[in-house]
Amino acid sequence: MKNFPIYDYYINGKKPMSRISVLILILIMVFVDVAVAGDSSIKVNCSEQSGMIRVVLETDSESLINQSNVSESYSLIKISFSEPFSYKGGAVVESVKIYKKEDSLFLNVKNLQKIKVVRLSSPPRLVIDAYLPEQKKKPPTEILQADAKEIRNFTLMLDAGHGGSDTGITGQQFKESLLTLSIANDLYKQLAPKAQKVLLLRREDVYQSLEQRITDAGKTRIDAFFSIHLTNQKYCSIFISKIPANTSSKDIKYNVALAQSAYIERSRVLAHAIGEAIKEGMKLDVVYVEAPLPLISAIRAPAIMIELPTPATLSYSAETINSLAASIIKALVDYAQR
Amino acid sequence: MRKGKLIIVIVAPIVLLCVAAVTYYFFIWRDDGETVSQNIVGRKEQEKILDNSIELKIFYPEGTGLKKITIKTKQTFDAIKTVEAALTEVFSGKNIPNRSAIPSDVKLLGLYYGIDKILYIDASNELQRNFHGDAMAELMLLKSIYETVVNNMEAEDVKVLINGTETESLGGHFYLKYPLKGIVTQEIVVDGSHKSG
Repeated sequence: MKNFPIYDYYINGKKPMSRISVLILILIMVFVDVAVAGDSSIKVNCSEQSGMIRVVLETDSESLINQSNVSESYSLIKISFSEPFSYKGGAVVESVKIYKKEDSLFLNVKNLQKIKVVRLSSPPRLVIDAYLPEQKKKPPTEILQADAKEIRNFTLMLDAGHGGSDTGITGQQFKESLLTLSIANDLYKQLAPKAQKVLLLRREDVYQSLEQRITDAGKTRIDAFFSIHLTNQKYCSIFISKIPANTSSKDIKYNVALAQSAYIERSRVLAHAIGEAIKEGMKLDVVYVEAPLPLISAIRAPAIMIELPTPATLSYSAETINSLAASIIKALVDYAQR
Repeated sequence: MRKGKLIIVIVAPIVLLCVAAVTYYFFIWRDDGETVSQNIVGRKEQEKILDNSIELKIFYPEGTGLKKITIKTKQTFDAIKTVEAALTEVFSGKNIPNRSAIPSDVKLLGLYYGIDKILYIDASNELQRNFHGDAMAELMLLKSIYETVVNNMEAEDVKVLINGTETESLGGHFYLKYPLKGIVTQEIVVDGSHKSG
């Protein structure tokens, strides 16, 4: 009999239900409040000084700053935080690109040489001084200034290999997907003034399937296609497509996967021109490979895949990128002259 | 007539002799040979059965090619079980000198032999997640899986599934969504085998 009133409440329902609704509402509000309060916000302010960019990350959580971990690789600075946060933006200079991924912030600083990190309190701040090369020490650009008239009418396409969940080769301080994106972006800046048009197949660190890349690449008429990847070897590998021996002219015309067949000889010439230029300009050994890579096999233009050594072997300074861009330009000029 | 009789007397024994020789060759001598060779094969098979073991042919990546090792394992008359044992050896990498060429912690979830004579390999997602190689490493890994299968059973092609689902690529360079034969049996040209101009 003692339990009867409770039973009655469940049968009649109305009164306890309204109480329960209020209780649930309060619980949701408390949960949302806690969740919102749990995420500290980070505001970024950048200032450009001679030979240096100062990036200041400001937050109200001291532990967030103290337990952060800063690492750099080539032009990328990664700031890992031990707890979730929300990125509120701020004053960012043009030469710095900032994006958030999970519990990390990534700063892409053009021509980054080295960094200095300082943690300050009241208010909690993380100060990163990103040092840039001095104007006098700028890498020689003679080769880039070379007569590149031949490629003025060229439309080039750059593909940064991997992306998103497909990280490619990973090392202690690098991910292939991020490094290839960074290299492709820098090459874009170097090549854009020389060619009629330079297109980037991947602009962000997102997963793009091979089929998506093939579809996107097929939308524009291009004169040359470069896919940028990394290799675990100490040399640079240059791949061209390997077309099956029994491919008919009908296959070449109608089978997208074999579109490269019509351009294979020109791809071979371009690959060797690039290889020779890399050997000369970057002092790297070059290995040429013909393999049935689906992406370059489906390109309707001379297409190559360049695999560069990982940062464990090759230092990815601004000078390295300049040399690579110069090698590509030199090779394209050579190729165009043939 | 005398001349005719003389010919018959000389030729008839020769013909009879030839017939006897041919009969001996076809019905006695050649049969004996076959029986002997059959016995030899039979003895070898017998020894193998008595030995209670089979040899698994394992292929693993080494640079721009594959290397083969043979491992003795318990006798089985089921081809799928033989391949299962061979692939488990590949993925475990215990007996492979170049251990780093194989992604770690890969588990073989299942093998299915289709009516299309394609062997479907269902591997755990570690095969994809723990692979961090370049294009050549990816191609050689796929080739080692294919060669290990077709050298241990009669399969026309091999298809790899990750956690039971079709996956586009293992390492972002080659297709995994199609059977492997078309990719891995093509000749790979490395270095200065071709010249420009």
